Amino acid sequence: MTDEQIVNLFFERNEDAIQQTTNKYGSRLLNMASHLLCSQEDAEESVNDTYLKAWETIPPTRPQHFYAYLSKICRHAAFAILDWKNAAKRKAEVVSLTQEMEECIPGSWQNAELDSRELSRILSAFLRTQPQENRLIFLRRYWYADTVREIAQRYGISESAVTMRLRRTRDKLAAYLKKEGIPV
Amino acid sequence: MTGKQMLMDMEDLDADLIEEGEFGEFQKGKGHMTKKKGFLILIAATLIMGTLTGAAVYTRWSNSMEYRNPWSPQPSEQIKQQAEKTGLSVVPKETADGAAVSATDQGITVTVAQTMMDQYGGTVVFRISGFDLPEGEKPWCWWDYTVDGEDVHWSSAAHFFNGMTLNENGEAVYAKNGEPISTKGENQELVPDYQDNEGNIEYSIDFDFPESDGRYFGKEMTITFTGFGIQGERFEDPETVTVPGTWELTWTLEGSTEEPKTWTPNAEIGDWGVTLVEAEIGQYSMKTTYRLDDKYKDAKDFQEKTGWSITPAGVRLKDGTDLYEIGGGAGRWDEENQLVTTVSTNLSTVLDPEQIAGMYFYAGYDLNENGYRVDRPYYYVPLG
Repeated sequence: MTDEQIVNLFFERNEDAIQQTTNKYGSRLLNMASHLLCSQEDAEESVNDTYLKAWETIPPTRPQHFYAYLSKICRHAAFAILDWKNAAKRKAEVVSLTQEMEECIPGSWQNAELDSRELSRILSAFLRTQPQENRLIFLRRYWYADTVREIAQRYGISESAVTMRLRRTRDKLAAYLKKEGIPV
Repeated sequence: MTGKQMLMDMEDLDADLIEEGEFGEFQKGKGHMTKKKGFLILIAATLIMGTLTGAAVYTRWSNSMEYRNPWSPQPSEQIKQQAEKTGLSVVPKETADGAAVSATDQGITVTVAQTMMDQYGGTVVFRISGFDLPEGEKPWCWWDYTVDGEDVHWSSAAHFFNGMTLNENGEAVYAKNGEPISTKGENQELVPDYQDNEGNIEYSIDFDFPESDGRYFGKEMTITFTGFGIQGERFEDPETVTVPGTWELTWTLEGSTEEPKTWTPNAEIGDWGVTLVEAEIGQYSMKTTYRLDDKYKDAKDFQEKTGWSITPAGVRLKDGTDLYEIGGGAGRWDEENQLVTTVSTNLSTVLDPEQIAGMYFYAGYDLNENGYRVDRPYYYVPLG
């Protein structure tokens, strides 16, 4: 079933929309959520929240990128229930991600309050300047929260190559943010 | 803004980028795979050391190859000797009288310490002497390369040897003196030591050849370093060139063309619905071929349904030693025969194929009480 057909089911208020969404994208969403949460139960909860949110918002929204739409909801839901203190105690992967992100932030940005849409706009623009391979690796790491090993496996390159590319991309991102300046 | 905020607040990334991250694939791919149809990118798992005895090694191996896999036993003397006899391990010479391939500039000398190559690719190890690495800093370098004077774009990865290994008791120690590895910070981060007892640093580059028929042996490779420096303390701090210069090293590529050992077990791997059809294991690479059940549309479908990139997790030696460390690799999908073939190149150590008793394969995972994934005991396939 195509994304458009599934979205049409949502518009028709046909509950099969949820089943079709689960069939097509459930495992991908669960994979991302479990990476962020380190808990299968919490991950399943955030995926279920995603379906509920999709049901509540489609219609009136008609997403042109259905998977991205679901992925955004799911990622947001996962962060909403993430217990950061517990994650820090466990030294969960998500903690490493925040540390890596921390190292990208220029000093001048550290006290800045930035709207998420503005940050996303800047990041999107930055990613479009990057070679596709580096962009994919960055997205797998910081959007989908894959481990370095999983990224290496996914693209058939060594872990050291992933680490090196991530490092260089973060380096470039930091320089890009510096050059971009703090949006006002 | 904090790193946590940045991670969370990128939630409005452009939708097409998000979908590219989920569905996109490398356009370039692995060189030797790009001309064929339906390739998947997979990883390979690998392997080993050896158990042979005796015999002196002809040459001193670089630390980078000696401790290539710091968590597995070092290659035995006989495996080293075997690797040199077959031409796998070479110390390139610049002249007929045996002078090493080296270049000096700005007081720094770079030498090709060792190459380890077979038909699929290999590793080049450089020894860098005279570079003053400030205490506590991590080295960095800049380089480019040509083959027979032409720019080529081989898949590559590189790193500095960080001086760490495990001793016989499984304790992390410095390779150069056996002393316990220092740690720092709340997270007990291991402190590397890049310099050997003479102050040299080693840098190694792994290459995958675009074609696997040995055609690159005999060609001239030139690697030109354009600077040495240090890594930034923070990621916003770029690597810094502390010694710019030019170090050009040219040598003739040599390597082993010895045929790998082949098994045809036709054995099912657990309950995955996958059969290990054939395994070819060489000294520094391995190729495995699998047949998928009809319930899988293709290898990508298999990976999505099982979460497993279909490659070996390790090997067992005839003496009972199990080795699980992996090497990189790529695979291709043969739709007509429902076969996946995976090639692992630049293995984490050198093998003696005659000592392989069997292979291990991923068997899924469980979540422990903390919600972490814990691999189930691997499936084992004996190679008779």
